[in-house]
Amino acid sequence: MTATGSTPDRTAPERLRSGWRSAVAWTERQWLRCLLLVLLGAGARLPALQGPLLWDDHYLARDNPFIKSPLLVLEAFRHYLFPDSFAGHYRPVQTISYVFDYLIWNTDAYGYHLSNLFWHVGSGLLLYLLLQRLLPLIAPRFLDQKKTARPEQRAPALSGAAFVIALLWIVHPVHSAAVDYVSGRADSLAFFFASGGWLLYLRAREISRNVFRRSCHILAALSGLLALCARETGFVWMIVFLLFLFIFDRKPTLRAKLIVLSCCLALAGAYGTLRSLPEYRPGHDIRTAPTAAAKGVLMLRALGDYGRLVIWPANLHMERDVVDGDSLRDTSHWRQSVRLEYLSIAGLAVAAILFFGASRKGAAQPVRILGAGWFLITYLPISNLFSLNATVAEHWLYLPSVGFFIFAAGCYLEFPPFGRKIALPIVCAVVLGLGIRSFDRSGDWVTEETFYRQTLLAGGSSPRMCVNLAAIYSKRGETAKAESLLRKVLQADPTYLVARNNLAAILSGSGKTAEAEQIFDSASKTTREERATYPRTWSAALNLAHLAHARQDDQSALAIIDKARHDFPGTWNLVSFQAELLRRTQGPEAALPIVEEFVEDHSWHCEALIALGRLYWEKGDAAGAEKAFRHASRLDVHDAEALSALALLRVQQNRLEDAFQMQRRAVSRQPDEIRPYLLLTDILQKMGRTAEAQAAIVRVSKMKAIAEASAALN
Amino acid sequence: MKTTQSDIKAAAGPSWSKLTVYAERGWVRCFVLVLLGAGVHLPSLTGELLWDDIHLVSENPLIRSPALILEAFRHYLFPDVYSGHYRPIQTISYIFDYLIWNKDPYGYHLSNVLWHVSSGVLLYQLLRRVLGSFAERWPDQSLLPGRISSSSAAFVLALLWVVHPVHSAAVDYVSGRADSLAFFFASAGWLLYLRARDLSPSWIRRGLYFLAALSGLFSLCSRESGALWMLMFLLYLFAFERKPPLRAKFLVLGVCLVVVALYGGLRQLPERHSEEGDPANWKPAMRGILMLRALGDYGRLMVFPSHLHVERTVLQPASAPGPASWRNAVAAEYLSLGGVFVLGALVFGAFRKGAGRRTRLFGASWFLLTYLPVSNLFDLNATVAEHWLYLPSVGLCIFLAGVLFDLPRRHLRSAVAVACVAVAGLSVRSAIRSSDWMDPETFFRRTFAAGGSSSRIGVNLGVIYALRGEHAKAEAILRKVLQAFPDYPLARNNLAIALSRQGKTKEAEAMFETASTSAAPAKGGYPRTWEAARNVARLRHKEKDDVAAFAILERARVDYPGNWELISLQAQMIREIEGPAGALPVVQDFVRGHRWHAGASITLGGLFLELGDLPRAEETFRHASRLDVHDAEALNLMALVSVRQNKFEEACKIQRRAVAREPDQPRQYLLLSDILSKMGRGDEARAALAQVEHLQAIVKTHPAASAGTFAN
Repeated sequence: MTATGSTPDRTAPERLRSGWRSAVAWTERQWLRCLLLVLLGAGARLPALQGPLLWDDHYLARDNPFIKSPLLVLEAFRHYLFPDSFAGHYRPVQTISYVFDYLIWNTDAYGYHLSNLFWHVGSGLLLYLLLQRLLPLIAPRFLDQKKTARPEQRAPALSGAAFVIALLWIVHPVHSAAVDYVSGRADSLAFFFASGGWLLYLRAREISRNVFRRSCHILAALSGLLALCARETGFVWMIVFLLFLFIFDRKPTLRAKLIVLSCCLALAGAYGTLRSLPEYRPGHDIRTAPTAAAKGVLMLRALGDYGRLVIWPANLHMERDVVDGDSLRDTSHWRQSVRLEYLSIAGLAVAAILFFGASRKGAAQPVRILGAGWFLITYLPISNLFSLNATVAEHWLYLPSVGFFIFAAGCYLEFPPFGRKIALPIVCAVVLGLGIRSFDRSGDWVTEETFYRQTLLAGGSSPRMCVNLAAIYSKRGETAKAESLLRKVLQADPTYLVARNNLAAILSGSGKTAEAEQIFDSASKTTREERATYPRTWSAALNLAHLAHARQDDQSALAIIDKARHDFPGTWNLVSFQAELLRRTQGPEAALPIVEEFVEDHSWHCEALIALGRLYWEKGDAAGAEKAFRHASRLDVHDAEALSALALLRVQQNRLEDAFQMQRRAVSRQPDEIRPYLLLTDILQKMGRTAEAQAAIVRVSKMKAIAEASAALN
Repeated sequence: MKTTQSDIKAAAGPSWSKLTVYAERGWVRCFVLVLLGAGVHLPSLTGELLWDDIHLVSENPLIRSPALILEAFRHYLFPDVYSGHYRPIQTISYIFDYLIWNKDPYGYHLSNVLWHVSSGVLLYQLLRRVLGSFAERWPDQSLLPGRISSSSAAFVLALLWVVHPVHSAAVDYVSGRADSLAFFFASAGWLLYLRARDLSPSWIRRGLYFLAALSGLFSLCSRESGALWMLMFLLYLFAFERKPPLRAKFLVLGVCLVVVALYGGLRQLPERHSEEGDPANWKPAMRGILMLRALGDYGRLMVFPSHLHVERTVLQPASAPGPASWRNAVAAEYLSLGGVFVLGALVFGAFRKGAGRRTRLFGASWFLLTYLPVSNLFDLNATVAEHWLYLPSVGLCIFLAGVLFDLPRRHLRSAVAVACVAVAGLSVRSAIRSSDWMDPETFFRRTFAAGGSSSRIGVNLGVIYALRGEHAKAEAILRKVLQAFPDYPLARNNLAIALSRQGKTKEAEAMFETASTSAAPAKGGYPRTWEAARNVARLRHKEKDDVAAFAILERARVDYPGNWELISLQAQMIREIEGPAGALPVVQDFVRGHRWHAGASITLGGLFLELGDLPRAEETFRHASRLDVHDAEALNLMALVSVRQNKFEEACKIQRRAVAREPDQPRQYLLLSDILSKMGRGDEARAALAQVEHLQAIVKTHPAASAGTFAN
């Protein structure tokens, strides 16, 4: 070997080793890891960004009156998540998140999906930062005592483990329903605020200046409250936090720990108070509570299913279930449902692995204990120990999966150096595989039809899915297909009210009025339990009343609506139809009291206020109408109807300049709509500003041409 | 300082010491095994013959005479069912029971108990040798004094095994004795081999080896589980036994293969059944679940033997379909989990280090290997059965011995106390379970109550009600069975009978019709499905529509060839229409193929008698009289032939033999009296008549005595 320079020539293996070392050094950089988390976390969900709003999104992000204006932020705390259902989810922070989405993105679904992604990726980043701090606290044997710099430098193995955990978690396809589904963002929100709160608390502990420390503590508490108000899992987060504090964290004194505990209790108290603000909704589950033995089996089945989903996320879909009610219908059904029994066995295996791993001695035993404890504690509430609205759901793994990955990291840390070297490419392959699966799963949410079809194909063949698919067919005009699907659903479950109502609507649309009326009639005669079980069951009565009205039998229509209003108090659709009927038959005076009464209780309801304003106007009470329209215009930052009505009112009062200003605001709210321009043209012409009116007309013509072209393209 | 067992005994006091010394004596232990083993099954001794006993004992023509011993090897166990059980030794055991006890069920039950108790004693001896061989090889012999001895462990485990109530169906049920027989011969064969090995080369040693092989063959011919015994024996020999050289081991293997080949050869003797039951066609996933469920059920039964009954299943209850009923069936899922637990415990125990590791490994292997054939891996006639644990439970006992060997000294007394409590508890449970077999109604009722609500049990209960004259009750239960299992031909046939007895002839006839048409395709799955056809033929014959009756019988004979009941009815009908000459070929044809059938020979003799062919009639009756050692009918007819030939002295001798065969039957004395009168021996004739009056008086005082056990 000859030396040709000042430094000796390196051999190829040496160069390779050196290159590897520098690559490893690069990956240890904090910013790079965060960038990777963001890129992979967002990249895996890209297809869903193009998706529309679907299923519950319609109730939460499209028709929800509470999201239409930032003025309603406080109002969100006075209501359950679903404004028009008997579900008792109290998640004001989720509603508020939609308020901001609506403010920025109006009804563009892209923005809502982008927000979802932001919350999820944010949660992933916070998880990385949190684990980076937590793992060294419980596994001091991995700390490099010589170094005193940042945690990732003091314990590179633990920091690397935290990164891998966060990476696996962020790309895992099992979270699809929480990320790709706009209505599912509660998980991300609770995760974001809870982990943010925990990190703030840890940061506060390191700050010496009182003001900053207190501020951090206050922010941490606030973040905890926001997590609670985002989803009920906030409580589980709090329990995990407290258990960690009292069992694993040895730094704070007992006094400090007790103060934290009391703060948490105060937060829970505050949350309890907030929760008491909405009108109480009684429980609506009419299913027979399972026996203790059945609960045990369900718990094991769920554990088995979750274990399988985390390791091998195939057959992902909404409407999961670990109960097959048909299993005993006959032998063939039983044979098909035998897989459920394997889930119990898998559940037993998962529990055994967690217990065995947690009890096995080693340097990383505390990490495994933390992981197993985290998983089991966060699993318990969704384990079927308590009755929930399903037996399993993929997005319920959003929080428990962290425990699972921590446990896996605890196992990995025990590997010998050679084993770790082998594990590294395996982890990379797993991340890649999970990322691809997530990308694929995310594609399920691109259109409503794709979503329902894929769900049915993957095994989520619930009546709800079929009804939703039928609704799509019906909207597309394929009524025969829709009718056949709905009839199949009703054959399997004759009590399913939504299917009955939708079938009747289709029949009515295709001229089979007699049968439609009969079905509507039976669907409208529901028991209290049925009304509480299915959403929007009032629509049957409303449709029946519409049919009565169509055949000029307004008396019957009014009688039906009266009864329905009694069964479903505070339903605007019923009040609105009744008011319209009364207005037509008896004039605005007759309709006014019921709308006034509704608005009194629902002063946040934009549509009701517009209706009230119109009635005042019709009655000749311009002041009352203006007040109502003005109020309505503030309740929906993107709605032009109230402003247009105000403009018309001004025109009527001959206050053309005011009318012009008002209509310009209306146009700015809906610049893509033709109607505001037409009204603006009219006002401008009345004002004698013909050139501007001409310009507005040209604009209208252009928009019409665009609309026609896009219609032709579709 | 080492603590020996004698030190412990000395510390415990003189009385305890005496007791333990006594308890260690071999004969005392065997006596205790016999006493407890027999004691717990006492209630069943007074039980009746029921269910399959009717086919295997009451109506089995192959058990009526020792002359039929070799014939037993030419037939399957059930003469009139399409099940393929080849168990000639079981049939032969009934031959001896019949020879000694005639039709008294007490004797049959006593034999069962004797086979079981003897198996228990042999198990004790075998475990003593096997566990002893394991103990010899413990690395640290100093551990021995403080621990339980292999002999004591063998005794405790044999005691637990012998009193365990899970064996009830194999002991209290006469038809279930195949388990005990196979167990007895297999364990005896194993012991004989071990004993022979201890002897120096001599003709006695060779004799013992021969006897061991013969015992193995008997075990195989008792029950198919004999093959498992052989497998266990070879496993022990090759994997756990170090004494014999490899050559000797291979020699033993060769002998075993010869025994198996012999058994295979014997199995070829009976005529092959053309149809077996429908294959279950279970998918592997389902089989896996059933295997785990079965394992869980067996594990539970061994530890906590409640809900014992003969109609166990680990399939979902098909009688309770519906979306909400899965909650009721959730117990079955716990069985899977129990199975996983049992498997885990066995595997974990087998590989856990300790002095008893080899014992545990052998025990776990024994259990799992003997469990495999009954695990649902192969299609059998049920998914689980208690008596299938007869052999695998020994594996659990050995496994338990391995656990006992590793038990620290301080826990020894607690273990003894637990064992005593377990023996007491299991004994009480066994005695209670044994009482389930008192009479058919108790048995079927309790089976129902314990959860064995199968269609078969329902039908049997229905038949009992029908026999008692409670036809409405029988009808209700049979209708319920048919609602759940519309294709069950036996239920249809019995319902038709119940309807016919109630005068609902039209419905009965329609029911018979459908039962007879659907019975043929289902004959592989159900026993005696030909009954429906026979009943329809009878009805037609009653209605004087003999053409239809013959057509039905002809078709049935094609479906069920070699069925005496059908041939008998056909022959009887032909005789009524065309006279004995017409019936003769049909019966002759049957007898040619079934020379062992006493009933057919008597019928044939009767036809010859009717035709006036006295020599052939006599010959046939003589043959028939040899086919049933307790039947007097053939002798009666022989006597009649002799009377016709005016050979009164010979007739008297023959009739006296008939009287000796049926000394409780007044008819025999009447016939004797008649012959004696004809011979002019008036005093003797009067004495015979006095005997008749005496017997009739007894019958009047005890009407039940005349009904007999085999009324059904």
